[in-house]
Amino acid sequence: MRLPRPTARTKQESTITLINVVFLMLIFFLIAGSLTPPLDKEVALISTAESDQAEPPDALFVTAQGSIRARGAEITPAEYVARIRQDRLLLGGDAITVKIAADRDLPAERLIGIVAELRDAGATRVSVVTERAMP
Amino acid sequence: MRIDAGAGARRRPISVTSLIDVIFLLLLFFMLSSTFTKFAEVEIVGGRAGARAPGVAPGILLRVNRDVWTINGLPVGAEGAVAELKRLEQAGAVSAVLLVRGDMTSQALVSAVERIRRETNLTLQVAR
Repeated sequence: MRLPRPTARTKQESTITLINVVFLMLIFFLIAGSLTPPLDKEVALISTAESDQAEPPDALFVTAQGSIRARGAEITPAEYVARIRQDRLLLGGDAITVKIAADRDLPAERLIGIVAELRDAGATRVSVVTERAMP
Repeated sequence: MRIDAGAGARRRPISVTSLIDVIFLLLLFFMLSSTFTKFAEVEIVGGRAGARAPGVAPGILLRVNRDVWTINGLPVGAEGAVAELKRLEQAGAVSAVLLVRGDMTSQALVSAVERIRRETNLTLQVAR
């Protein structure tokens, strides 16, 4: 008479260690990283050493070739200022702060031109977003 | 007679698979959406006549071309430029205009602006 062999029950692998490691990674990323709005991949930000630290930007991106984009779509400076005004529910006389994230190889003349267009459209304060180089 | 119902039943451990799933999702989310880059910002005043210093004739005209800074028409090396600016500031200059010419890149412009802001108290504007 043939009897079926008793199947050897494999011991369940302990998942506790896996959870521990994943948990540690989760906590590391929570503390060390900061959430960002999507940054434009084609723009290599200007690097500075010791300007004031700032939040991750939701900015107007300018590539090295001079095309202007916000959140992945081409836009003109005037449209961008109008959109900020609409998004933040600003009135005509309110101060509008605009951040530009320009590529480091963009000709400075073009950058100044864009700053001028933003000012013409009503922006009161224009600043350039840079990344802090590690000391 | 009292019968203990739970006497022989072994406690089954709570399944941790769903916990791992959730933690894994959280981990992926934070890994993909966070960044380790530190950002900063440098204000650019100028372009058109700025609201900050409207219509005041600047005391210092400044041009930056690679390593040669031209201050009021006088070519100075990058090292001597800050000393010269400090000297002019002590002589009573309040504002400066940085003229952008030729093949200067944004990186060079912002570096120069940052350096002048850091070393001196001049009101700096940028113009074409």
